[in-house]
Amino acid sequence: MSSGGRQPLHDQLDRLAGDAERGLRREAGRSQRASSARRRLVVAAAVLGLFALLQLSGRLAGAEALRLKAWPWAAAAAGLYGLAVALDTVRARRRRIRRQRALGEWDRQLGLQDRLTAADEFLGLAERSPFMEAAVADASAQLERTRRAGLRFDRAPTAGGPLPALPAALLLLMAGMLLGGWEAEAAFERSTAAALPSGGAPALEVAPEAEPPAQEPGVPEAAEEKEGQAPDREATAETHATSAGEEQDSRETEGLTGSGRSSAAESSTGAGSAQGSPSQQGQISKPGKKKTGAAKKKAPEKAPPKAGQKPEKNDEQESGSTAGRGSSRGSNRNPAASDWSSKDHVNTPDDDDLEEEDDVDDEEEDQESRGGMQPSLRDRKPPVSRDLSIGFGSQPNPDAKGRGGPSQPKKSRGTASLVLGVPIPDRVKGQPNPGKTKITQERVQPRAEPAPPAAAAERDPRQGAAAALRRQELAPWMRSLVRDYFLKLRQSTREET
Amino acid sequence: MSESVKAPDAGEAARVQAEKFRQTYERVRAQVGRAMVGQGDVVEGVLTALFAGGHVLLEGVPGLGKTLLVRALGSAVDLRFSRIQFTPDMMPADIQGTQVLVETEGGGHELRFQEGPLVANLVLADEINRATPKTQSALLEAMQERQISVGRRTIKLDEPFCVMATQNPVEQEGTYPLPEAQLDRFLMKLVVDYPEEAEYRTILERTTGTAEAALEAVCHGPEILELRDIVRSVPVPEAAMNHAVRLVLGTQPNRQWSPALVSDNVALGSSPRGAQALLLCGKVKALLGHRFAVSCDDIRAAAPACLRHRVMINFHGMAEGVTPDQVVAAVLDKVQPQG
Repeated sequence: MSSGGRQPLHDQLDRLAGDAERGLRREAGRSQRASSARRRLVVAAAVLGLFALLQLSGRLAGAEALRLKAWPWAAAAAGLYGLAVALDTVRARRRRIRRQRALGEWDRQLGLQDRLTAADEFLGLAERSPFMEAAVADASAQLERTRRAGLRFDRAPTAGGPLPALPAALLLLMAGMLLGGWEAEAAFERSTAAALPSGGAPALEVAPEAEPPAQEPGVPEAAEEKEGQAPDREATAETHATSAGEEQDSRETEGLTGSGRSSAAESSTGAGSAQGSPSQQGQISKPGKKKTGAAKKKAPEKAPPKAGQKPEKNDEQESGSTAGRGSSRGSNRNPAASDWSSKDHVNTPDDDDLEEEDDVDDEEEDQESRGGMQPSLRDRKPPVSRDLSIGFGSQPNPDAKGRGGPSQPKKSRGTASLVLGVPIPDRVKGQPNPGKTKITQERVQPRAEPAPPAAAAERDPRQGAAAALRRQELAPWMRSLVRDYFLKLRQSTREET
Repeated sequence: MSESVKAPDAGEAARVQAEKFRQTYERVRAQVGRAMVGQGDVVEGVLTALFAGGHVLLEGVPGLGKTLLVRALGSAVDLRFSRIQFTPDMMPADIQGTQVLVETEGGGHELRFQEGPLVANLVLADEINRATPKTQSALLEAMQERQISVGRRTIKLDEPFCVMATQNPVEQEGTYPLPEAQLDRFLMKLVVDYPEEAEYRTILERTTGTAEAALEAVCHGPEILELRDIVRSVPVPEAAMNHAVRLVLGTQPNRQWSPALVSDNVALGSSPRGAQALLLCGKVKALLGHRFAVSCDDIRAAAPACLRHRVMINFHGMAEGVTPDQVVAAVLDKVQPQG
């Protein structure tokens, strides 16, 4: 493509962009009018609502000045509504449409895959690469298609369909007329009030309020009282007495059964008996009275620890007994290789230092001479103590942690106890085969998941026979009361006959 | 507006280059098609990655021809091809190379560096997720920097260098899922699906008879490098670039362009490498579509393969069964091209 041919391409792109811009503006105005016809109804509703509010307040207050005519308000509502829709439409049609979007509309409708927009962009560059030149030439070859086919704008469907302006206006006018009917009613009231005498209306209004509302039911009661029906009065008295008695009875019942207490109180009572009794299974039986007494004693939880109880605690922890404490404490000690200490072996700080120095030297020498990484000799643990002695005096033997022995729980049995007590450090760290899951960390805020509420269902009435109901036991004074009532009733009927 | 004087010739040169690219692409594709039946999208994706200068991760159940595809590609292009079957006991030295003790002519011994199978042009990393993370990480430098470091030695890998890895989505026990840093280095992740019914007949005829498809190399290394330059010469208009950026932003949670599905179910979105991949693949697609500039449609067509492995679903999304493909589809639905 010659350089002279590119200027016409630019002009043609201008023309295409102009056509598309006009079409897009028209379409934008049309769609805006359709949507505003619905949205701007709120303007008319606000005007008519104000009118109705003024009418209502005027009617309630009886003010002459607020009695308004309906048609100017209806006209104002319709006018404002139309004005708002027109303003929206004009604003949408005047909105600027970018050139890129206008050309993109051609690309989209003709399936040109952004050829025109790309060419338009490349034409604006001072330096163009060979591919840009080729893209511009490619776009100019597609211009013939734009001449053959024009742009078509399909109307975007508005939500709920288009709203015709004329029926809407009529609807508003009718609403205004209906509201205006109040004015005629008010005029009628005014004329009626002028025609009637001044004292008549209040008398008519007050008359129904002067009558006491409970007057009519009271008359038969008074007549019955005059007839002197004693059983009714007695029955009333009995009813009061019965209710009083029930109240008293219920209080007595609460006091007896303890049902007035809260369930928490009951449960706490129950828990109190359960607490403080951990399983003694894992505890060590120790010689001496002190230990036995302490075990039998109810444990004072917050009492300061005594000096004599300290070794007991230590023993408990070392034995790994976790019963009743709610948390387990694992021991990282190798049961087959305990610390070397016995009564025959006396450690001095000097000896320890010497041994450590020797170990370090050995280790360094070994590392150098063998030419590779060797297991650290510091990890070497002394063999298991075979001391089977019971202990010193009342104290258990602290070194007797090996196989057998009467004082300590056995750490290992069977074949495991025969394994050489020299630990071999594990050179492979981690897990060789972690599986499919990949460990990822994620910090998220917990969110509430919406769950559908369970639908309430109506229950059918019970069809089968109810279970046998216990006959309610009456208090003795109630029994005598009923008995006296029926005796008096029979006596009175007998006297009448 | 200033006009370029060399414009007509330059445009013609670009047209010739684009035509050369298409012809070479079609030749390689025809050769691969002699061994591989169907899977047109996968073949196109593999070739796109080869000419765009990226690496490919092929995922599919066993028996769908993933390895066959890469082997066929290795035969169709005259490149140094090597295949590494990854196993859990494989160490980095097994793929990078190591010092070995060799006997010299005088009877002495010396240490010599023996290159591993990674030193090649086209590397088939078969079942890459069976290797330990240590060995997987040995690929990182090779894939990104095109070099490997062993001891004090750094070996520059010859271009073109392309890693085509396969992995199996099932049988995950005993495997090590690729870390995000490794996944991000793949230009595309292609999902190999079952062949169509009509393709089974051809597959059976080719694989159960006596005849073997003999593939010939129709392209060599320098030619591929030249085609890569052509791909990179394709310009990207502003609209297409903005669209690629917004698509990548759309995969990141709580962004302006991310749909609700992303904000709720995605822990990590795509990195800028995702946008680079979109543009490179879009350029190849533009050339194949007889165009000289990338369009938004090219970007959108490349989005699933370029973004699906860069999206990490969070625990909520896993519980809801949200897949990366659904996320990318939601992003494509939300982010529409402007204009």
